[in-house]
Amino acid sequence: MKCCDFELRLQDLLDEREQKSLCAADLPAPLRLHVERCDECAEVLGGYRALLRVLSSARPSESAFRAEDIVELTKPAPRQFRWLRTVVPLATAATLMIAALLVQWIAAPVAVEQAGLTPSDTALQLVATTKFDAVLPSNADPRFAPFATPMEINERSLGLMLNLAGLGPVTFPAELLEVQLIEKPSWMVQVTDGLKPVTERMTGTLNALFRVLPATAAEKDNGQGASYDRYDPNQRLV
Amino acid sequence: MGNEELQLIDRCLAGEQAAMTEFVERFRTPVFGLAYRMLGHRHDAEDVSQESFVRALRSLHHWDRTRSILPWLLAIVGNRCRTLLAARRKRPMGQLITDQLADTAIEPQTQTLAEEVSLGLAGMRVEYRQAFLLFHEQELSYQEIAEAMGKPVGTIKTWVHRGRRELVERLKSRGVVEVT
Repeated sequence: MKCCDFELRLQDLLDEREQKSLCAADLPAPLRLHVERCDECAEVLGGYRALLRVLSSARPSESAFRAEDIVELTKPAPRQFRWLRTVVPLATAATLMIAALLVQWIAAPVAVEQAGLTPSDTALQLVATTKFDAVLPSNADPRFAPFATPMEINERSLGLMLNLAGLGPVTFPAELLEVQLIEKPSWMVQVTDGLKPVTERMTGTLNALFRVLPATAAEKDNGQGASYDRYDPNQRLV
Repeated sequence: MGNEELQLIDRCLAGEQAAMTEFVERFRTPVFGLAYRMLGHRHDAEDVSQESFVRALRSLHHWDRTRSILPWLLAIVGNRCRTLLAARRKRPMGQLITDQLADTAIEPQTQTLAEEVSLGLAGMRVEYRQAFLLFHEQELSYQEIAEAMGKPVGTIKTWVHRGRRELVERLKSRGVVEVT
Protein backbone atom coordinates (compact mmCIF):
# COMPACT_ATOMS: atom_id res chain seq x y z
CA MET A 1 0.00 0.00 0.00
CA LYS A 2 1.26 3.49 -0.84
CA CYS A 3 1.21 6.34 1.65
CA CYS A 4 -1.30 8.38 -0.39
CA ASP A 5 -3.63 5.40 -0.47
CA PHE A 6 -3.25 4.96 3.27
CA GLU A 7 -4.68 8.40 4.05
CA LEU A 8 -7.48 7.96 1.51
CA ARG A 9 -8.45 4.71 3.19
CA LEU A 10 -8.36 6.41 6.59
CA GLN A 11 -10.71 9.07 5.29
CA ASP A 12 -13.07 6.38 4.00
CA LEU A 13 -13.05 4.70 7.40
CA LEU A 14 -13.95 7.95 9.07
CA ASP A 15 -16.74 8.49 6.53
CA GLU A 16 -18.21 5.12 7.43
CA ARG A 17 -18.28 6.17 11.09
CA GLU A 18 -17.56 2.66 12.25
CA GLN A 19 -14.25 3.58 13.77
CA LYS A 20 -14.57 5.58 16.97
CA SER A 21 -10.95 5.57 18.01
CA LEU A 22 -8.89 4.21 15.10
CA CYS A 23 -7.14 1.74 17.36
CA ALA A 24 -4.48 -0.30 15.57
CA ALA A 25 -6.27 -3.49 16.45
CA ASP A 26 -9.47 -2.30 14.77
CA LEU A 27 -7.81 -1.23 11.54
CA PRO A 28 -8.10 -3.39 8.42
CA ALA A 29 -5.03 -5.55 7.92
CA PRO A 30 -3.51 -3.64 4.97
CA LEU A 31 -3.62 -0.39 6.93
CA ARG A 32 -2.26 -1.98 10.07
CA LEU A 33 0.64 -3.55 8.21
CA HIS A 34 1.47 -0.30 6.42
CA VAL A 35 1.49 1.68 9.67
CA GLU A 36 3.89 -0.81 11.22
CA ARG A 37 6.36 -0.16 8.41
CA CYS A 38 5.84 3.57 7.72
CA ASP A 39 6.63 6.10 10.47
CA GLU A 40 5.18 8.98 8.53
CA CYS A 41 1.81 7.30 8.11
CA ALA A 42 1.95 6.24 11.74
CA GLU A 43 2.14 9.92 12.61
CA VAL A 44 -0.78 10.68 10.29
CA LEU A 45 -2.79 7.95 12.00
CA GLY A 46 -1.89 9.49 15.35
CA GLY A 47 -3.19 12.83 14.14
CA TYR A 48 -6.54 11.39 13.08
CA ARG A 49 -6.80 9.47 16.31
CA ALA A 50 -6.20 12.62 18.36
CA LEU A 51 -8.79 14.45 16.34
CA LEU A 52 -11.39 11.79 16.99
CA ARG A 53 -10.58 11.85 20.67
CA VAL A 54 -11.22 15.58 20.90
CA LEU A 55 -14.44 15.35 18.92
CA SER A 56 -15.80 12.57 21.06
CA SER A 57 -14.90 14.12 24.41
CA ALA A 58 -15.70 17.81 24.11
CA ARG A 59 -19.32 18.92 24.36
CA PRO A 60 -20.45 22.52 24.89
CA SER A 61 -22.61 23.19 27.91
CA GLU A 62 -26.29 23.93 27.48
CA SER A 63 -27.48 27.24 26.09
CA ALA A 64 -29.19 29.72 28.35
CA PHE A 65 -31.95 31.07 26.12
CA ARG A 66 -35.55 30.24 26.96
CA ALA A 67 -37.80 28.47 24.49
CA GLU A 68 -40.74 30.56 25.70
CA ASP A 69 -38.96 33.77 24.67
CA ILE A 70 -38.45 32.42 21.19
CA VAL A 71 -42.06 31.37 20.85
CA GLU A 72 -43.10 34.83 22.03
CA LEU A 73 -41.06 36.39 19.21
CA THR A 74 -42.85 34.32 16.60
CA LYS A 75 -46.26 35.67 17.57
CA PRO A 76 -47.93 37.95 15.03
CA ALA A 77 -48.40 41.68 15.69
CA PRO A 78 -51.23 42.74 18.06
CA ARG A 79 -54.63 42.45 16.38
CA GLN A 80 -55.76 45.98 17.05
CA PHE A 81 -53.09 47.43 14.80
CA ARG A 82 -53.14 44.84 12.04
CA TRP A 83 -55.68 46.80 10.06
CA LEU A 84 -53.07 49.53 9.67
CA ARG A 85 -51.01 47.26 7.45
CA THR A 86 -53.78 47.33 4.87
CA VAL A 87 -55.13 50.82 5.35
CA VAL A 88 -51.86 52.78 5.35
CA PRO A 89 -50.63 51.61 1.92
CA LEU A 90 -54.09 52.11 0.42
CA ALA A 91 -54.34 55.61 1.89
CA THR A 92 -50.87 56.46 0.59
CA ALA A 93 -51.74 55.21 -2.88
CA ALA A 94 -55.02 57.13 -2.88
CA THR A 95 -53.28 60.33 -1.77
CA LEU A 96 -50.68 60.01 -4.49
CA MET A 97 -53.36 59.36 -7.09
CA ILE A 98 -55.37 62.40 -6.03
CA ALA A 99 -52.24 64.54 -6.08
CA ALA A 100 -51.37 63.31 -9.58
CA LEU A 101 -54.89 64.07 -10.81
CA LEU A 102 -54.74 67.54 -9.27
CA VAL A 103 -51.44 68.33 -10.96
CA GLN A 104 -52.75 67.05 -14.25
CA TRP A 105 -55.90 69.13 -13.93
CA ILE A 106 -53.98 72.25 -13.08
CA ALA A 107 -51.50 71.73 -15.89
CA ALA A 108 -54.09 70.72 -18.46
CA PRO A 109 -54.63 73.24 -21.22
CA VAL A 110 -57.93 75.03 -20.98
CA ALA A 111 -60.08 74.42 -23.99
CA VAL A 112 -60.23 77.45 -26.16
CA GLU A 113 -63.94 76.97 -26.52
CA GLN A 114 -64.43 76.93 -22.75
CA ALA A 115 -62.47 80.10 -22.28
CA GLY A 116 -64.30 81.69 -25.17
CA LEU A 117 -61.01 82.67 -26.79
CA THR A 118 -59.41 81.99 -30.11
CA PRO A 119 -55.77 82.55 -30.91
CA SER A 120 -55.39 86.06 -32.12
CA ASP A 121 -53.39 87.12 -35.14
CA THR A 122 -50.92 88.65 -32.76
CA ALA A 123 -50.44 85.33 -31.02
CA LEU A 124 -49.89 83.55 -34.28
CA GLN A 125 -47.44 86.25 -35.35
CA LEU A 126 -45.64 85.77 -32.04
CA VAL A 127 -45.23 82.08 -32.74
CA ALA A 128 -43.94 82.81 -36.21
CA THR A 129 -41.31 85.19 -34.91
CA THR A 130 -40.22 83.48 -31.70
CA LYS A 131 -36.53 83.90 -31.22
CA PHE A 132 -34.15 81.10 -30.47
CA ASP A 133 -30.58 81.84 -29.58
CA ALA A 134 -28.39 79.22 -31.17
CA VAL A 135 -24.70 78.86 -31.92
CA LEU A 136 -24.38 76.89 -35.07
CA PRO A 137 -21.14 75.17 -36.14
CA SER A 138 -20.07 75.55 -39.73
CA ASN A 139 -19.70 71.90 -40.62
CA ALA A 140 -23.39 71.22 -40.70
CA ASP A 141 -24.97 68.61 -42.86
CA PRO A 142 -27.52 70.30 -45.07
CA ARG A 143 -29.67 67.23 -45.01
CA PHE A 144 -30.47 67.90 -41.37
CA ALA A 145 -31.80 71.44 -41.46
CA PRO A 146 -33.29 72.43 -38.15
CA PHE A 147 -36.66 74.02 -38.19
CA ALA A 148 -39.48 74.59 -35.82
CA THR A 149 -42.97 73.83 -36.92
CA PRO A 150 -45.88 74.78 -34.74
CA MET A 151 -47.75 71.54 -34.35
CA GLU A 152 -50.45 72.70 -32.06
CA ILE A 153 -51.41 75.89 -30.41
CA ASN A 154 -53.59 77.04 -27.65
CA GLU A 155 -53.20 79.98 -25.38
CA ARG A 156 -50.74 78.17 -23.17
CA SER A 157 -48.59 75.77 -25.05
CA LEU A 158 -46.96 75.10 -28.34
CA GLY A 159 -45.73 71.84 -29.74
CA LEU A 160 -42.44 72.18 -31.56
CA MET A 161 -40.97 69.67 -33.90
CA LEU A 162 -37.26 70.10 -34.33
CA ASN A 163 -35.15 68.30 -36.85
CA LEU A 164 -31.89 67.89 -34.96
CA ALA A 165 -28.67 66.85 -36.55
CA GLY A 166 -28.13 63.16 -36.12
CA LEU A 167 -31.33 62.68 -34.16
CA GLY A 168 -34.03 63.31 -36.71
CA PRO A 169 -37.38 64.92 -35.88
CA VAL A 170 -37.98 65.40 -32.19
CA THR A 171 -41.08 66.96 -30.65
CA PHE A 172 -40.85 69.25 -27.65
CA PRO A 173 -43.61 71.00 -25.74
CA ALA A 174 -42.85 74.69 -25.19
CA GLU A 175 -44.74 77.09 -23.03
CA LEU A 176 -45.44 80.51 -24.42
CA LEU A 177 -44.01 83.05 -22.02
CA GLU A 178 -45.70 86.10 -23.38
CA VAL A 179 -49.24 85.19 -22.58
CA GLN A 180 -50.39 88.69 -21.93
CA LEU A 181 -51.34 88.98 -25.61
CA ILE A 182 -54.10 86.49 -25.10
CA GLU A 183 -56.95 87.17 -22.80
CA LYS A 184 -57.21 84.75 -19.96
CA PRO A 185 -59.09 84.42 -16.76
CA SER A 186 -57.08 85.77 -13.86
CA TRP A 187 -56.90 82.41 -12.16
CA MET A 188 -55.27 80.98 -15.25
CA VAL A 189 -52.69 83.72 -15.22
CA GLN A 190 -51.91 82.86 -11.65
CA VAL A 191 -51.47 79.22 -12.54
CA THR A 192 -49.30 80.10 -15.50
CA ASP A 193 -47.15 82.31 -13.35
CA GLY A 194 -46.79 79.47 -10.95
CA LEU A 195 -45.55 77.26 -13.76
CA LYS A 196 -43.09 79.84 -15.02
CA PRO A 197 -40.02 78.26 -13.46
CA VAL A 198 -40.86 75.07 -15.33
CA THR A 199 -41.49 76.80 -18.62
CA GLU A 200 -38.38 78.92 -18.35
CA ARG A 201 -36.32 75.88 -17.70
CA MET A 202 -37.81 74.15 -20.69
CA THR A 203 -37.07 77.11 -22.91
CA GLY A 204 -33.54 77.24 -21.60
CA THR A 205 -33.13 73.58 -22.42
CA LEU A 206 -34.41 74.12 -25.93
CA ASN A 207 -32.00 76.97 -26.41
CA ALA A 208 -29.14 74.86 -25.15
CA LEU A 209 -30.08 72.21 -27.65
CA PHE A 210 -30.06 74.73 -30.44
CA ARG A 211 -26.57 75.75 -29.47
CA VAL A 212 -25.26 72.49 -30.76
CA LEU A 213 -27.10 72.70 -34.03
CA PRO A 214 -25.24 73.47 -37.25
CA ALA A 215 -24.98 77.12 -38.30
CA THR A 216 -26.55 78.73 -41.30
CA ALA A 217 -24.31 80.12 -44.01
CA ALA A 218 -25.54 83.67 -43.53
CA GLU A 219 -24.82 83.66 -39.84
CA LYS A 220 -21.42 82.18 -40.42
CA ASP A 221 -20.63 84.85 -43.00
CA ASN A 222 -21.75 87.54 -40.63
CA GLY A 223 -19.48 86.16 -38.02
CA GLN A 224 -22.33 86.28 -35.59
CA GLY A 225 -22.30 82.81 -34.31
CA ALA A 226 -25.60 81.19 -34.89
CA SER A 227 -28.88 82.73 -33.95
CA TYR A 228 -32.31 83.03 -35.44
CA ASP A 229 -33.43 86.55 -35.88
CA ARG A 230 -36.43 85.33 -37.66
CA TYR A 231 -37.91 81.90 -37.70
CA ASP A 232 -37.68 80.60 -41.24
CA PRO A 233 -38.52 76.97 -41.92
CA ASN A 234 -36.91 77.22 -45.31
CA GLN A 235 -33.50 78.03 -43.99
CA ARG A 236 -30.88 75.71 -45.22
CA LEU A 237 -27.48 74.92 -43.91
CA VAL A 238 -24.11 75.11 -45.50
CA MET B 1 -38.53 11.13 9.31
CA GLY B 2 -40.36 10.00 12.45
CA ASN B 3 -44.14 10.20 12.76
CA GLU B 4 -43.76 11.87 16.10
CA GLU B 5 -41.72 14.67 14.61
CA LEU B 6 -44.21 15.18 11.81
CA GLN B 7 -47.03 15.45 14.33
CA LEU B 8 -45.02 17.96 16.34
CA ILE B 9 -44.45 20.08 13.26
CA ASP B 10 -48.12 19.91 12.32
CA ARG B 11 -49.02 21.18 15.76
CA CYS B 12 -46.52 24.01 15.35
CA LEU B 13 -48.08 24.89 12.02
CA ALA B 14 -51.47 24.95 13.70
CA GLY B 15 -50.11 27.65 16.01
CA GLU B 16 -49.92 25.61 19.18
CA GLN B 17 -47.55 27.41 21.57
CA ALA B 18 -46.72 24.32 23.57
CA ALA B 19 -45.69 22.52 20.37
CA MET B 20 -43.38 25.35 19.41
CA THR B 21 -41.75 25.27 22.82
CA GLU B 22 -41.29 21.54 22.46
CA PHE B 23 -39.80 22.08 18.99
CA VAL B 24 -37.21 24.48 20.38
CA GLU B 25 -36.31 22.18 23.26
CA ARG B 26 -35.99 19.17 20.97
CA PHE B 27 -33.54 20.82 18.61
CA ARG B 28 -31.83 23.17 21.06
CA THR B 29 -28.66 21.09 21.44
CA PRO B 30 -27.75 20.57 17.78
CA VAL B 31 -28.66 24.15 16.89
CA PHE B 32 -26.66 25.73 19.68
CA GLY B 33 -23.83 23.22 19.26
CA LEU B 34 -23.34 24.09 15.62
CA ALA B 35 -23.63 27.84 16.23
CA TYR B 36 -21.17 27.66 19.10
CA ARG B 37 -18.56 25.74 17.15
CA MET B 38 -19.01 27.93 14.11
CA LEU B 39 -18.75 31.22 15.95
CA GLY B 40 -16.57 30.38 18.94
CA HIS B 41 -18.50 32.75 21.18
CA ARG B 42 -21.32 31.84 23.53
CA HIS B 43 -23.38 35.03 23.33
CA ASP B 44 -23.16 35.19 19.57
CA ALA B 45 -24.11 31.53 19.40
CA GLU B 46 -27.16 32.10 21.60
CA ASP B 47 -28.26 35.09 19.52
CA VAL B 48 -27.87 33.13 16.31
CA SER B 49 -29.66 30.14 17.80
CA GLN B 50 -32.65 32.22 18.85
CA GLU B 51 -32.76 34.01 15.53
CA SER B 52 -32.59 30.69 13.69
CA PHE B 53 -35.45 29.21 15.70
CA VAL B 54 -37.63 32.27 15.11
CA ARG B 55 -36.95 32.10 11.38
CA ALA B 56 -37.58 28.38 11.30
CA LEU B 57 -40.89 28.61 13.15
CA ARG B 58 -42.05 31.45 10.94
CA SER B 59 -41.17 29.64 7.73
CA LEU B 60 -42.06 26.11 8.79
CA HIS B 61 -44.69 26.00 6.05
CA HIS B 62 -41.85 26.20 3.49
CA TRP B 63 -40.19 23.04 4.75
CA ASP B 64 -40.39 20.01 2.46
CA ARG B 65 -42.19 17.29 4.41
CA THR B 66 -40.48 14.54 2.43
CA ARG B 67 -37.14 15.50 3.96
CA SER B 68 -35.72 15.49 7.43
CA ILE B 69 -36.24 18.62 9.50
CA LEU B 70 -32.80 18.74 11.14
CA PRO B 71 -30.72 19.44 8.00
CA TRP B 72 -33.19 22.18 7.05
CA LEU B 73 -32.94 23.72 10.50
CA LEU B 74 -29.14 23.46 10.57
CA ALA B 75 -29.01 25.07 7.13
CA ILE B 76 -30.69 28.13 8.63
CA VAL B 77 -28.20 28.12 11.49
CA GLY B 78 -25.27 27.78 9.09
CA ASN B 79 -26.49 30.68 7.00
CA ARG B 80 -26.94 32.91 10.05
CA CYS B 81 -23.48 31.97 11.29
CA ARG B 82 -21.89 32.76 7.94
CA THR B 83 -23.68 36.10 7.83
CA LEU B 84 -22.45 36.98 11.28
CA LEU B 85 -18.91 35.85 10.51
CA ALA B 86 -18.85 37.97 7.40
CA ALA B 87 -20.03 41.03 9.29
CA ARG B 88 -18.04 40.54 12.44
CA ARG B 89 -15.11 42.78 13.25
CA LYS B 90 -11.84 40.95 13.92
CA ARG B 91 -11.62 39.68 17.42
CA PRO B 92 -8.55 38.34 19.09
CA MET B 93 -8.63 34.63 18.43
CA GLY B 94 -7.32 33.98 21.91
CA GLN B 95 -10.44 35.47 23.45
CA LEU B 96 -12.71 33.42 21.24
CA ILE B 97 -10.95 30.21 22.14
CA THR B 98 -11.01 31.08 25.84
CA ASP B 99 -14.75 31.65 25.60
CA GLN B 100 -15.19 28.29 24.02
CA LEU B 101 -12.89 26.30 26.23
CA ALA B 102 -14.20 27.81 29.44
CA ASP B 103 -17.54 26.19 28.77
CA THR B 104 -16.45 22.82 27.53
CA ALA B 105 -16.38 19.91 29.90
CA ILE B 106 -13.19 18.15 28.91
CA GLU B 107 -10.40 16.46 30.76
CA PRO B 108 -7.32 18.54 31.54
CA GLN B 109 -4.98 16.31 29.52
CA THR B 110 -7.00 16.89 26.38
CA GLN B 111 -7.20 20.64 26.95
CA THR B 112 -4.24 21.28 24.69
CA LEU B 113 -5.64 19.07 21.98
CA ALA B 114 -9.05 20.70 22.19
CA GLU B 115 -7.44 24.11 22.10
CA GLU B 116 -5.51 23.22 18.99
CA VAL B 117 -8.58 21.77 17.31
CA SER B 118 -10.57 24.88 18.18
CA LEU B 119 -7.84 27.11 16.82
CA GLY B 120 -7.68 24.98 13.73
CA LEU B 121 -11.44 25.23 13.23
CA ALA B 122 -11.38 28.98 13.73
CA GLY B 123 -8.73 29.36 11.06
CA MET B 124 -10.44 27.06 8.60
CA ARG B 125 -12.52 28.17 5.66
CA VAL B 126 -16.11 28.68 6.80
CA GLU B 127 -17.49 26.11 4.35
CA TYR B 128 -15.00 23.47 5.47
CA ARG B 129 -15.76 24.23 9.10
CA GLN B 130 -19.50 23.98 8.66
CA ALA B 131 -19.31 20.75 6.65
CA PHE B 132 -16.87 19.24 9.14
CA LEU B 133 -19.03 20.13 12.16
CA LEU B 134 -22.23 18.93 10.53
CA PHE B 135 -20.57 15.59 9.82
CA HIS B 136 -18.64 14.96 13.00
CA GLU B 137 -20.64 16.79 15.67
CA GLN B 138 -24.16 16.79 14.27
CA GLU B 139 -23.60 13.37 12.68
CA LEU B 140 -25.51 14.17 9.54
CA SER B 141 -24.95 12.10 6.43
CA TYR B 142 -23.23 13.53 3.40
CA GLN B 143 -26.57 13.67 1.61
CA GLU B 144 -28.16 15.62 4.46
CA ILE B 145 -25.23 18.02 4.65
CA ALA B 146 -25.43 18.54 0.89
CA GLU B 147 -29.11 19.47 1.25
CA ALA B 148 -28.40 21.76 4.18
CA MET B 149 -25.59 23.61 2.42
CA GLY B 150 -27.04 23.50 -1.05
CA LYS B 151 -23.98 21.85 -2.58
CA PRO B 152 -23.33 18.50 -4.33
CA VAL B 153 -22.41 15.51 -2.21
CA GLY B 154 -18.99 15.30 -3.83
CA THR B 155 -18.20 18.87 -2.84
CA ILE B 156 -19.25 18.24 0.74
CA LYS B 157 -17.11 15.13 0.91
CA THR B 158 -14.12 17.08 -0.36
CA TRP B 159 -14.72 19.84 2.19
CA VAL B 160 -14.95 17.39 5.09
CA HIS B 161 -11.79 15.57 3.99
CA ARG B 162 -9.89 18.81 3.61
CA GLY B 163 -11.11 20.00 6.98
CA ARG B 164 -9.85 16.81 8.60
CA ARG B 165 -6.55 17.03 6.81
CA GLU B 166 -6.02 20.64 7.86
CA LEU B 167 -6.71 19.82 11.48
CA VAL B 168 -4.44 16.79 11.44
CA GLU B 169 -1.65 18.80 9.85
CA ARG B 170 -2.07 21.40 12.53
CA LEU B 171 -1.92 18.81 15.29
CA LYS B 172 1.19 17.29 13.75
CA SER B 173 2.90 20.63 13.41
CA ARG B 174 2.08 21.54 17.02
CA GLY B 175 3.47 18.28 18.27
CA VAL B 176 0.33 17.08 20.05
CA VAL B 177 -0.11 13.97 17.99
CA GLU B 178 -0.38 10.62 19.71
CA VAL B 179 2.34 8.21 18.88
CA THR B 180 1.01 4.81 17.82
